[in-house]
Order: sequence, then C-alpha cells, then structure tokens
Amino acid sequence: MAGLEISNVTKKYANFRAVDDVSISIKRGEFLTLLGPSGSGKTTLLMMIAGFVQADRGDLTLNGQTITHLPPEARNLGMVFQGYALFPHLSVFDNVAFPLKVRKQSREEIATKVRAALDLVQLTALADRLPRQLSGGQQQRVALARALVFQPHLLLLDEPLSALDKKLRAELQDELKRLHRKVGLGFIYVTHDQEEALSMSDRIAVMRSGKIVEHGTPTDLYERPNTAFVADFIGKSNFVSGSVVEHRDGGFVFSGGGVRFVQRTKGPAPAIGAGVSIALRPEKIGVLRSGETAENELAGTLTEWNYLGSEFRLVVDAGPFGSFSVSVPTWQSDLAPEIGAAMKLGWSAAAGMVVAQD
Amino acid sequence: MSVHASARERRAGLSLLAGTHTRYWLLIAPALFMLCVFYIYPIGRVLWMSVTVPAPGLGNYELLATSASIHKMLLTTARITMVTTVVTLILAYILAYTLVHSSPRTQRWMFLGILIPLWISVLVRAFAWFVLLRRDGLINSVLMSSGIIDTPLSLIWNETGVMIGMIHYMLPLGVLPIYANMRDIDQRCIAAARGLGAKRFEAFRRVFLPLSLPGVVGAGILVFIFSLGFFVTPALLGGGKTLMIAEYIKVQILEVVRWGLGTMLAATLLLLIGGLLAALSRLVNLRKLFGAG
Ligand SMILES: Nc1ncnc2c1ncn2[C@@H]1O[C@H](COP(=O)(O)OP(=O)(O)OP(=O)(O)O)[C@@H](O)[C@H]1O
Ligand SMILES: [Mg+2]
Repeated sequence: MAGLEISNVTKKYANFRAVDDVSISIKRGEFLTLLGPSGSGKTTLLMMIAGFVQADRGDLTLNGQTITHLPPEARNLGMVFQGYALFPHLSVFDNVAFPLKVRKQSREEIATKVRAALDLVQLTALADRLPRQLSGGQQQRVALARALVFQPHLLLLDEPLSALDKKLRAELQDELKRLHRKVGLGFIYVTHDQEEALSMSDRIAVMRSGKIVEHGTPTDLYERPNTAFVADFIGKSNFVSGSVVEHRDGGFVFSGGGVRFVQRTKGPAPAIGAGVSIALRPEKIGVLRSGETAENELAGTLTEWNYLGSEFRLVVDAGPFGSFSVSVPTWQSDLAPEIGAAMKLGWSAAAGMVVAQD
Repeated sequence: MSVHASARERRAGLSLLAGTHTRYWLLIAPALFMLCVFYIYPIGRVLWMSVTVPAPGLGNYELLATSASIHKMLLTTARITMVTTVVTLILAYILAYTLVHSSPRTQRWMFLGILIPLWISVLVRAFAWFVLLRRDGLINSVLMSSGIIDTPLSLIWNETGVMIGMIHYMLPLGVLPIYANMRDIDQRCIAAARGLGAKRFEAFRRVFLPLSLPGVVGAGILVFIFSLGFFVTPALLGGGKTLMIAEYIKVQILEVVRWGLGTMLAATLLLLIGGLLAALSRLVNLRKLFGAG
C-alpha cells in the first residue's frame, strides 16, 4: 500500500502512556491533521513516525516496508519542527541543500533542486541570508523548502504556524494548502488549533490522553461527532442530557430536568430508559420571539452578550441545564440584548447531535 | 519665564549629575588606587627597566635575535604551549560533549570532578603527579609488574612531565567555555539533521561541530595564554632542565641577577599576549567568548 500505516503503537514514559495503542493510516497525497489539547501525545506520535522516539509496542509500515526500527535518517521523511530548527551557521541555500549534500548528490543537481525548492516557497531572492536575518514567516518557508527538497515519502509538520501572528498564520495556511496540492505528498500536520484543522485537512484525527478518540473528514467531525469530547473540542457545543421516554418515527423523545425534548436520528434510536446526551452548536439555537414556537424550547435569562459584527454571541443561563452559548446572525435579528432579560431558546429536532457521554 | 525655569532645571540636573559622578569616583577610588600601586606601577617599572638596565637602549631586546639559549627556551615554551593547548582542547571537547549529553544527575557529579582540582593548590597537584610519575611511582610500577614494559618510562623531570601536569591544570579552563557554548546549541538542530538524512557522525560533523567552534576558540585562547606564562608546574615537574619563559625570567632575576634580560622577556611576553588578544578580538567577539553578554 502506498502510504503510512500505524498499527497499535504505544509509547510509555515510566508508567505514563504518552501514546496509547494508536492505529491510523494515511494515503499518499492525503492531508491528515493530528488535533488535540496540550499533552495529548501529538508530538510523541509524530516523533515516533519520524524515528526520534522508539515505540514500545506496535508497528509502522511505509509503502509496504516496516520502518518501526529504522533510524530517522533511513526513513526519508520530511519534517518541519516546532520552532523550525534551521541550522544557524548555514545560509538559506545551504540549509535547503543539506539533505541533498548528505545524499552525496552532484553540485549541479543540488543547485537546480535547491533553486526549484526556493522558488516553490518564493524565497529565491533570500538564498544568501542567514536564518537569523529572516522573519518568522520566512524561516518557516525555509524549513518547508528544506523538508521538501529531497522528495520525501511524507511531510511531517509539528505546529509549524504556532509561533506566527494571526494574519501571517492565515496567509501561510493558504500557502501550505497550495503547496500540498502542488507536491502531492502526504502531510501529517500537528496542531491544537481546531479552526486550522477544519480549514486545512482532508482528515482529522482527534487525540486525547494518548488515544485517537475519533477520526474523519472535517465535516464528519463537525456535523456528526460521536463523542461529547469531539463535539466540544471542534467548534463549541452545548449539552443537554436526559433519558429516553418514547420512540417516534425517525427519532425519539427524551426528558431531562422535567422538560421533554424531541430528537431526530438517522440510525436506530436508543432504548427506552437509556441515558442520552445531545450536543448543540451555538449557531443552531435560536432566540424565540413572543408567539414563536420551536420543536424544543428552553427558558433562561441572558447573563452576557457580545457583538461581533456578523453575529451576537449570547450566554444564557438556563437554570438546571447550565449555561448555553448561542450565536445569532445580526442580519436576521432585531435583537436588542439586555442583561437579565428573560429569553426563550428554541431548536429543531434535527439540530442536536447524539453523542456518547464521557 | 518658561525659558528661565527650564534653564534652572537643567542646571540643577547638571549639578545632580556631577554629584553622582563624584560619588561614583569616590566608590571606585580605592580599587583604582590599588590597581595603580600594585599593578600599573610595577609593570611600568618592568617596561622601563627593560630598556634602561644595564645600559639605556634596546640592547636587551637584541638578545632576542642573537642569544642561542633564549632561542632554545622560546622554542621549548612554544612547543610545550602548543602541545598543551591542543591536547587540552581535545580532552576538554570530549569531556564537554559527554557533559551536555548526560543526565542532570551525572552532570552534577562530573562537574564536581572537574571543579575540585581547581580548588586544590597547584603545588599539591604537582606533588601528586610526583607520586604517580616517578621512576618507581605508581604508573611505572603497575606497568612493570604487569609486564608491559621492562625499563621504567621517564615521565617526569622532562617535557612529558611538564605537559602532563599542565594539561591537568588547564583542563577545567578548557572544559568550561566549551561546555557553555555546547549547552546553547539547539538539540533540535541535530535531530533535524538526522531527519534530513544525516547519519549520527555526519550530523555531528556538519552541524554540531561547526556550532561548537566558538567555544573551542574561546577555550583555546584561554588555555594558550595561561600556558604561555605558566610557572609553578613547569618549575616543579620540569626538574630545572625544561625551562619555559616564566622560569627562565625567574632565574635571570633571582639567581643570575640580570634584571635587564629578565624584564625584557617579561615585557616581550606581555606584548605578545596583548598582541594576540588584539588580533583575536578582530576575529571573534571576546566578550561573548568568555561569557559576558
Ligand atoms: N521525554 C519524556 N519524558 C516523560 N514524559 C514525556 C516525555 N515526552 C513527552 N512526555 C509526556 O507525554 C505527554 C504527551 O506529550 P506530547 O509532547 O506528545 O504532547 P503534545 O500533544 O504534543 O502537546 P503540545 O500541544 O503541548 O505540544 C505529555 O504529558 C508529556 O508530559
Ligand atoms: Mg507538541
């Protein structure tokens, strides 16, 4: 198989499992993101793929060949480190030429390939500078060129944009995507920024405490998360739980805190009496005007609001159900929020997502 | 009105400044005084005597070009200094490399081992080498009884002995600058080199070694200059046969009482070291090398 196959990989530090029985594969040309909170094991997993950390258990297969015990230099993987790790004593040109020099390629071959790589990241003009004479964004591009120039099987990137400011980050995100399409390599991209993960990836694997809790396309994970953790980590979610009281055509009714809610499902509904949790995106909850009704309704009082131009971000205290965060597009609302005002929230039976409880 | 006010303020400010200046000078005056009496004045005297004793003129300095015994001594000094510097640097590099790659616990013990000799009198250390290096000393008797050699090696009262003692003395001075520099090398750069296809040794040669060179240059200067004017160890372990410049000067002044020749050599040594430092300061940032800023 062309691509990388990770099977049952575990890494323990003393008794602590930094990576715990992880299996996932990445196809050639795919953009896979490892997303997770700090300390969830993303870097450790990436370092095992690169060969800097030895797995205690499990196997890595690259294009059909087992690489579990190969040293890093024998794996032919491009890597962009957190903080770039450019060689401070070498010029931009020599940094990019490094992987070719250690592969004993000829001088002419090196010159041509380095030029091409620098063209790719638009740095040709700065070839003679030293890393310390470059801006953060430019250093980042050198690191990319250096990791791509020797045609690796796969490119590994550990939070490559985390040191940059917001505007530059957005710019480089676009550039990375363009680069990914152009070179056609598999990218494994580590980040803890869920927006970045959503906008860039073909597939996202969400990690937590050393395990992959869920993986799928960005729309899969955003629209149909299976776990409360993912529903809350990718985008934000409000949660309502209760127990099932009745089955209906294409859905079920559950009751929690003395209120009945209807929820549609695609698959089979949970058994009567079973506990359920549903996750609700802030933008799928509306504020009901007087006289308006919805399939699900909940009363509360406004405790906080923010005007963000395109939307109002409201925090509504719904008594025993806790705080709800609600976003209302400004164009479709004549809302005049006032702290302490009573509000009725409403959502349709299709809005909620049934998730497994933690 | 505002002009007057600001002029007055400025005057007040100036006198305040002058006040701090006086206080500043008062504070460093004792140190300055000591420096003049015990340092600048004697050095001035030495320089002066080198061109006035026994007769005014550059007669003493002519000996540098003509005297065979001075040539021999300078050659010995140069040879011992070079060998000491090179061997010390190699050993110090290996030690510093091991040090930065050890766990913090091992590092503490290694540091203790490196620093303890610094706190022991150089005399004591020289006598310790006697015990080890003598004809019937520990090293020779072990080698003989295990049958590796059948006549004792002459490890002392010659250049070998001087070098062994000096390298031992210089080692901490070599390790510290190299270690300080290596500690600042980003380990991720070495990892990056491996990931980009360099084998262990190649990553060392192409990345770690060049990045550690500034520390080696700093250590080199330090050890070289210290070795050049070193007195006690060569005097004790050389057994009077291996004369380096410092002991030669002592002999001229205290034993044969040729003040002119002695001070001339001292002045030459001073100028040589000053010149070396000046030349090097053009090449590398000395302040940074010795850890200041
Ligand atoms: N060498 C090590 N020794 C002991 N524990 C380690 C070591 N390296 C990592 N860990 C632990 O393993 C866990 C996972 O670390 P890792 O660096 O993979 O997290 P991460 O997901 O990359 O986090 P971040 O987003 O902060 O970079 C952490 O709890 C960390 O403390
Ligand atoms: Mg990390």
